[in-house]
Formats: sequence, structure tokens, C-alpha cells
Amino acid sequence: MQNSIVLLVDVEAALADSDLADNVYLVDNTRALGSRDEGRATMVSCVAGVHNPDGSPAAEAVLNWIAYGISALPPTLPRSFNLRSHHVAHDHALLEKLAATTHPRDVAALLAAHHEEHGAFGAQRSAMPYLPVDPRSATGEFVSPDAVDYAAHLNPEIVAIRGEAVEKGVIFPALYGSPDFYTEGWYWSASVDTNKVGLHDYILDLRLLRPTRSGGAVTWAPEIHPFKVQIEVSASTMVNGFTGGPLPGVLPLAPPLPAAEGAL
Amino acid sequence: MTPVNIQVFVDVIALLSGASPAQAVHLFDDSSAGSEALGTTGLVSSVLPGQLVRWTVTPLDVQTQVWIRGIAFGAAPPDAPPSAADDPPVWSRRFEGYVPADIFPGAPHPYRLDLCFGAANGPIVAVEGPALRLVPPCADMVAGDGASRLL
Amino acid sequence: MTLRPDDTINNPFPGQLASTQLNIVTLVDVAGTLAAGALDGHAWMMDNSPDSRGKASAGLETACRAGQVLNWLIYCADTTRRPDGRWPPFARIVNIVFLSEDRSSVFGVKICADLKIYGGPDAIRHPYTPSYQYWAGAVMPNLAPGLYPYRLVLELETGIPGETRHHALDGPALRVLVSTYGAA
Repeated sequence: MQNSIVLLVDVEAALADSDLADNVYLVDNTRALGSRDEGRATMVSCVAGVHNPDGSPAAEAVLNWIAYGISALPPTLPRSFNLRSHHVAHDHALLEKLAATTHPRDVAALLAAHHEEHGAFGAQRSAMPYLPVDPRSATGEFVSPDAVDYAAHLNPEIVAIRGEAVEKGVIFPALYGSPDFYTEGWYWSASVDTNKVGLHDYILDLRLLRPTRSGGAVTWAPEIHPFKVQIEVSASTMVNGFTGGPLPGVLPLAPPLPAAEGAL
Repeated sequence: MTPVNIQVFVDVIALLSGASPAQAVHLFDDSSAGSEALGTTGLVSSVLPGQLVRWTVTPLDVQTQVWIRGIAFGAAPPDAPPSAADDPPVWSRRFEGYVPADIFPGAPHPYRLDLCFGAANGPIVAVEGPALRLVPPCADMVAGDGASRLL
Repeated sequence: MTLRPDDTINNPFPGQLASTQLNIVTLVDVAGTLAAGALDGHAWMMDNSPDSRGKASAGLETACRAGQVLNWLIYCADTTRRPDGRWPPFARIVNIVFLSEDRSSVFGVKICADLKIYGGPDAIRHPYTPSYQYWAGAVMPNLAPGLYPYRLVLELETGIPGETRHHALDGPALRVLVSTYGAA
């Protein structure tokens, strides 16, 4: 079974507090299996292990993590590649307007308006290569990458998974590659030893980027914030769905349908 | 005699978004005795007396949860309780069993597959249409590849 | 011109395409294929894209968009450990080759970025660190809408150590829909 654990981080608030504690909201897909405190920083994810009667695992248990900034671009919006050409489109639009202009005063006004909305003509909008170019808020407003409040548009990044559950061999995490732009091509995943029933802690190290303006430039300083999460491993024994016991029996076939007999 | 594996693939999100089981559920088997309507909810699996039949369900998107809650044979009314007791959680039920040896071959035995999903008291989707058809013990040899199987 | 995402296709479940990972799943009856010496009638493909055609056949046509990530997964009909402790033979994908329109030659244009096997961890930290093994790629963001046939090359274990068989599914295709995002 795959447990997906989503961390929603209020990046602006976390940077203001220099603390994640009250600024992370956890959601997973195993509420029906017993996860508690959904939507809160204290969420406990339930991992439902299933064992064969001889004690061997009957199903794999896998954890997947993904972290989002609450004000970041919706993950379903294609970023990077598709947005990469936006500034070109804006520049084309500007050129068309300029070509149709006859008065120098209008040219100045057009350039000023364009600069106001999209930044300098022809400019690469971001010095950080992995940032979305020409970011927009959910309502479509342009957010300048040079603005300090752009920080909220950067997803937090999980840089390590460690702590008691890792040290005791309850979870075995690793970082995996993917061609998925939404996750910048990486995600964390772990298998769980469901023999280790009970409550376990682990720590996610989240990297936030803190923007500071000095002179005309914005500098992005990485900060690593540890965040403690819990899982509760439970285990049940596989039973046969027909007999209710450990072994299969004879299938409970009903007598054939009269209609089916007639069809033969 | 090798077991017959019946694989049920489910597009869970489509099914819970209004698609019919016929659109979003695909059944297959690896019977060597010739089955019918592979890939559909009308799968008729050819099985031999005494053969072990196993059902396995897999979500197409891998990450959503889908389980077999129960399998009911015959013309069971829609609200008939599934075969499994409610005690073991749905994720720890394995659906497999032996084909009776004392049933006359030929007749199809339709069954209803009840699927449930990762939500407490969530919906149950009944998949109607699949059946097991008992074939005589020599049918898989007649089909040609039963005797030549490598394994 | 701005197209709404669902203007160009008859999508019964609007929004689904953007929010779910698109998996192209192949089911192989390994024992049946080995016995018959061919995949015909022993392998089927399906996906979770609402507008795809030919689901549960060997001629799956996956509806997708430029820029979208596709995952190719493979399942075997029999995956139950035998009483003697051995596992039944498994199948895996060894290549995905895009073909010309009539499938007679290899297509000269790159269709997918980062098309390769995935699922290995960044480092083997422990024997229990999971390993997944699937193929994935992102449809090239500038790919023109159209039909792109491909060949799925499979390697099947035979149960004899060191001996494998190779078979190809020549029927599948990607149907790249009109992309509705980004600059036109």
C-alpha cells in the first residue's frame, strides 16, 4: 500500500517565525485506515501492514512525501517548460503594439506599462535557473521574482529524512529521480518494516529560501528547518476472503442460473 | 495444475468520478483453457475442477486505494452481504479458492465483485458481469498449450 | 486566443488529466507468452487517461499533452510465490522506441524527454531501501499534436537462469492533444 504524505508549508509565516511548528499542515491518504489529526502539524499517519499467517509480509508498505508551499503555484499548473516561453510571448505582444504606434509619447507609455507588468523587455526574469519564469499568483497577477514576497512562491524542499524511525530500521528512505517537472524531478520514498508495530518519530529536514534585499538585489539564503513527524505502524493477518480463515476453501459457487443453462 | 490468476485493474478516479464499471474496470486471466471477453467486466474465465482461482486488484494510477470487499456467486441480490466477514479489514483479505470438483462442467457461474476504496464508510462499487465457466479436465490440453507450458 | 483545457477534447471527467499521474500499464501473461512463443493474446495495455482509445488491448492509444509526464508500468499475471519458494518468471520493459507513422522505421524526432528507466534510489542506503523499476518520460513540450506510434520491447524471464526471451508490442501509440497552456 502506498501512503502519500503531503506537507503544506506556509513559507512566509515559517520564515517570519523562523520555525515550522505552527506553519505546516499535513494531509495523507490513509485517514480511513486510522490516521489522526489530518490537516494539522501533529498528524499521525497510519501504516497498515499485512502479514501472512507465517509472519512474512503479505503486502509492501511504502511512504511517499511531497512538500508544497501554500501560496506556491498550484502543482497542476505546468511550470518550467511551458512558462519558459512566456516572456517571449509578452515581448512579441509589446513589439506588435510598438509597431502599430505612431507617436513617441505612446511608445514611452507602452514601454513603461510593459515594464510595470512584466519587467524589462527581453530580460531573463530570474537569476535562479530552477524558478518559474514569469510567476503569477493564483488570480493571475504577476509577481516579480525580485520581490521579497516571491518567497511564498517557492516550494519548500525535503533535503533529508532521518531520526528514530530511520535509525531503528522502521523506515528506509531514499531520494528518487523522476522526469516530473512539478517536483523538480525528485521525490522521497521509503519502505516500511511493518513488523515494527507502534508509534515512531522521524525528522524531515525542509529547506526554505529566505530572500533579503541588499541594495537593488535580492539574495536567497537557504535555511534548513527540521520538522518532526509520526507514523503509527499496525499489522493485521491476511485472511481468506471467502472462508474467513487462513486457508482457501472450495469456492462458494451457487447453482447455475436457469437462464444460463438454457443458453447452452 | 497451475492456478488461474484473475487480475482486476481499476481506474479508481474515473470510477469515483462517474465512469461506469464497464469503462473503468478491466478483468483479465491467464487461464490456459481459453477465456472470453478479456479486458472487460464480462470476462468469462475457463477453470478446471479442483483448480485454484485467485483474484487480485490493482489501481491503474498506483497511488489510490482499491480493495475487493467481497465476491458473491450466483444471482445474489444487490444488497446481499459479501462473502467475507466484516471483521478483518478489507486490505487484509485475500480472495482465492478451489473450483468444486463435483459440479457439472459447462455452465457459467456469474459473480459480483464488490470494490471499495480508501475512505471510511465510502462507496462500494459492484462489478457485475464476470463469470467462471467450468470446463472438463482435458480442455486445457485440447486448447494446445496446456501440455507444452514450460512451467 | 485562449482555449479552455477541455475545449479540444471530449473529456467526460474534466480536470482529471491535470491532477493525476498518467500511467500506461501493461499486463503480461508470462507463462502464456512463453508457451505460445508470442505476446499475441497474452499482453494487454491500458491507462488512466480518460480520452484514450483501445484500452485493455494491445493497440492502446494514450491521449496526452505536450509536457506531460508518462509512466510505463508492467505487471505479470502470476506474481505469487510458489510453494517451493521460487518466484514465477517476470517480465520487464527494456526499451520504448518511437516509430514512423506506418511503424516501418524508427521515428527521427525526439518524442519524450528523459525517457528511461526510473525507480532506483539515489544511493543504496540499506537492502530494504525500495527499488521500483518503471519507465517514464515527459512528452516534449514543443511536440506537435498528432499520433505517435511506438514499440514496447519486453524481456521475459523463462525460469531458466540466464535465459530470457525478447518480445515487442508494436501496437501502442501516443495521441498528443492540442496543448492549451503556455504561449501559443
